[in-house]
Amino acid sequence: MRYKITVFTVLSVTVCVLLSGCTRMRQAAATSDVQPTIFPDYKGVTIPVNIAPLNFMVEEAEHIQAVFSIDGNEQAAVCGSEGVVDIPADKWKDMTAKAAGRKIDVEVSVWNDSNSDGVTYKPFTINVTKDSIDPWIAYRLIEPGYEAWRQIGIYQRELASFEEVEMVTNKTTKSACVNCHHFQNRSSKRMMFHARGANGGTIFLENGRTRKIKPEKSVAYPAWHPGGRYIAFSSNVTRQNFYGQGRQVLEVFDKSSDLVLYDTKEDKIITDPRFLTEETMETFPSWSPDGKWLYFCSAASKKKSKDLFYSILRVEFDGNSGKLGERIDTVYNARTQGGSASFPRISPDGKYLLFTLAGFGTFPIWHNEADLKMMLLDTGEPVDISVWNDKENTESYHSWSENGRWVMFSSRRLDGRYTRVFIAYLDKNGKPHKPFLLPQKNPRLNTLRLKSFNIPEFMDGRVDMPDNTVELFKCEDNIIQ
Amino acid sequence: MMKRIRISAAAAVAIYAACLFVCVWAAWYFYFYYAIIWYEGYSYFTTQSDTMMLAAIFPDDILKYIGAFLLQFFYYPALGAAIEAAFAVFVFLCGVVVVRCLFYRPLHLLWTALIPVAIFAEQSFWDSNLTVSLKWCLWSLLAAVSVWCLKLAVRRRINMPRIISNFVVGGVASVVMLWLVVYNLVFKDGNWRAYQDIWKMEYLAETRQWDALLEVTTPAVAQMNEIARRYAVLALLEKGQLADNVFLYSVTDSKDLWFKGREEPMCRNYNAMLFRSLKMPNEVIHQTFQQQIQSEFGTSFTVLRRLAETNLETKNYALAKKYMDILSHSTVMKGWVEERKPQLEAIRNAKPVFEEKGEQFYTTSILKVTAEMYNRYPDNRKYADMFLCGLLADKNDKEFLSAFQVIATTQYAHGERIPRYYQEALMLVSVSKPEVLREYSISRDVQEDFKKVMTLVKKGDVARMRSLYPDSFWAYCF
Repeated sequence: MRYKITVFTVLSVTVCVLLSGCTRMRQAAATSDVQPTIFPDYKGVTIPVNIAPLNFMVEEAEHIQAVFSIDGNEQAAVCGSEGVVDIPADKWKDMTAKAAGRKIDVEVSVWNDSNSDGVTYKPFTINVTKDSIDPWIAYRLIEPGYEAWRQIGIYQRELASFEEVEMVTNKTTKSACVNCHHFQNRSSKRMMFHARGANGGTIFLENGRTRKIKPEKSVAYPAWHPGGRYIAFSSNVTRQNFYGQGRQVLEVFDKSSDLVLYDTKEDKIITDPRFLTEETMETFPSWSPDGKWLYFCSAASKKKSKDLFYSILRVEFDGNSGKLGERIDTVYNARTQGGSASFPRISPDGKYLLFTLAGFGTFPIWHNEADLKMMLLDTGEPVDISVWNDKENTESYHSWSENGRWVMFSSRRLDGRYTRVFIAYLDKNGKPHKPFLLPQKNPRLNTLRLKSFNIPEFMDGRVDMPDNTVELFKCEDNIIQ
Repeated sequence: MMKRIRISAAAAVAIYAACLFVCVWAAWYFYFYYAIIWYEGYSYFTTQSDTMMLAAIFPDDILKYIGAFLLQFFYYPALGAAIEAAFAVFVFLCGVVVVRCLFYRPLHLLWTALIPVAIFAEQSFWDSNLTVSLKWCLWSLLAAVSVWCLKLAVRRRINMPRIISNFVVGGVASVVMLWLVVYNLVFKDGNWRAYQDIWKMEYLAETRQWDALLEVTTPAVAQMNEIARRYAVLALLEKGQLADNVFLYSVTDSKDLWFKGREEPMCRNYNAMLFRSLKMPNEVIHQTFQQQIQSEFGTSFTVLRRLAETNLETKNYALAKKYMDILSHSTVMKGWVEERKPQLEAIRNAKPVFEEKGEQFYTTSILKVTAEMYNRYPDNRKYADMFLCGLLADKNDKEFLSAFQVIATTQYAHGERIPRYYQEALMLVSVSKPEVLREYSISRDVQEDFKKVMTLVKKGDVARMRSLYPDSFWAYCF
């Protein structure tokens, strides 16, 4: 009997130790007057109250601990093995709720080969705002390039937790490609995406059911009118070429592109001859929040991608008649202001225009010089958002949160190749704050994941995609280029 | 009188199992050595839940995942052969349970347990993800357990006639069955040889054994096999013999120098190695990414190792570390990663090398690529040879001359020997441009031969010319 109790006790203790990873806080022997080098870099970032724990790590740390305080009062102490600080979700939630409108100080201590007795670093801060962020986001996970695909999926992630679930993937129909997911006013109840392949089409999710349409004209980049009836599409003929040398490995560009409208009520394409010409190419449509303007990018057709410079234009729209108006404004003029613009997005308050600016060409994701730019719509004055950009690496696709305080954008700043999602705060005074990398339960996932995050979009909830959706575009398993 | 040897049932089973293990192991190791290496390279196992979540469908892919776990040990071919042999032994042991449950005097009937092994052996070579082998193991186990349970309920066993279940028949049948296992594995379906040869070429090219590669990719093989043809080109290029021998290897077009628009992993793998040889990391990564697309779980060990090595070479710390971190999440590749850690540390603070000279250019054709690269690196013989041989393969003598005139200023400006095919092509050009003979040093033998060639061609006796100068550019050209 005694023997059994001993075995049970030893096993229980072992299990507890293994599960806890680290059991007690230690006292570091040394202090440092510099802040620690943590990954992801969450030092001085501004976050919403409803974001998942900002777990972070210090490379090659055998033991790590972090003390979180608000106004000098300790809120939580977390220790971890293998250099990872994994903050308990409940503690984090309490802490961010308390810190709303204030900041959290984080003091990190590390034990490693060079500091075997431990070193405590100068604390860094995390600013917590009262402005919340939309609860869910959607993105496509895809290999970064090149010509063919095998595993593609649109996924959704709850921002307050680490829950990531499939929305729709091509796991069972590998030849099919899913892309261009888009939501009407960020609604998880009404969305669309394209399925490519032998049995492809445009898939709509409405009222909990999916249906497939095949518009008479091939359509690509969507913009759902805030009123819900119309969707503006660009219709693109896209090509790509590979560079033999240099940092930029490939160039994706349009050979031609037009703008069309799709009437979801009548299931028909509406065209306007002004936006179907061969002389100019129009792409990346986007609506103003009031639905009165359709923004898009436009460039004169050229044979060489290096000669493509897109401006941002807008055309009036009458939501009642479904017709584009006569007035066309140039909002950003590539010829006079330089570069090539893409992905125009208007802030929900209609005040700002956010877009991507590359040196030339149609698609900025392979242009390491591509950065986000912002301007005041009423004056055309630029807003300095350099704090959101990494000069050395690409910033590309972006979207606004519902309250207009948060911008989510894709960036290749971690390694130059794999796109990751960053979230940045724009306060009510129009001041941009340091962005933070989408938190992951294990920070290493940011580097270990072999996919790029593509087209990050905000959503108001979780999408319930019917299980049989994949049947709508199922096709034979062949590699598609 | 000789005393009859008595052995226990367990010992008999152990002897059978050992013999089977040795036979199957030897068959795999000595016949399928390069297949084992290939299976490992094209598989991928990781302990990362993320990769599996994105790439696998569970529970359907459970066997693939177990197979991937085992395949990583194929990195060591002896161990890979042992795993294959272990499958056969497992099926055999399950058969033994069945035999022991069903028959009286099972010791003399142990050979019957080899029957399913012989059938299994026939299928095991093509089982590149091990799912067939694992299914065999599962079904065998299920059969053994079922029969064992049945035996508990019905305590009767079958009494086989003495004529079958005796020592002599058992011994002979055992030898025959073992032979049948090996026969079914190795000899019954000879289709594996073609694949084994290609995998051998891949291995030799990967490990840069160019002489050995040329021994495999003989002109006769190259004539029949487009992959062999290209590996011969790569080996000749590396050895500096392209311009002396390329037309021995059935090259008939500049497209025969690489694979254009082909998605098969073996084609992409060749392209990646060609561009590694041409020192073009962008294209190595491009081709390797394309190869990756075809992988079962989204990537493969070959792909990850190449990406890691290419990024180490280009001093791209972030990406090299990424791929090495991913590799370290497998069981076997941890050692591979540890070996390269000093290399990684050495580039921690280095700036990545994105070599770029002159205007950017697209890699639309091998001629375009090598011409552009030659313009940037005129001292590099490989670019010159690939470009000039490509032009000759396309029978584009006009372009050849103008290109040669430029290339000769760097490659043959100091009396260096002009390769055979260039001399022969220059002789052809000299018919309309005799000044070529004054400008370049063409051997007397080539000039004499060309006179004879032209005599025969003018007579219309091209067939005889070809038979006299079968390996010449002239034979290829006319």
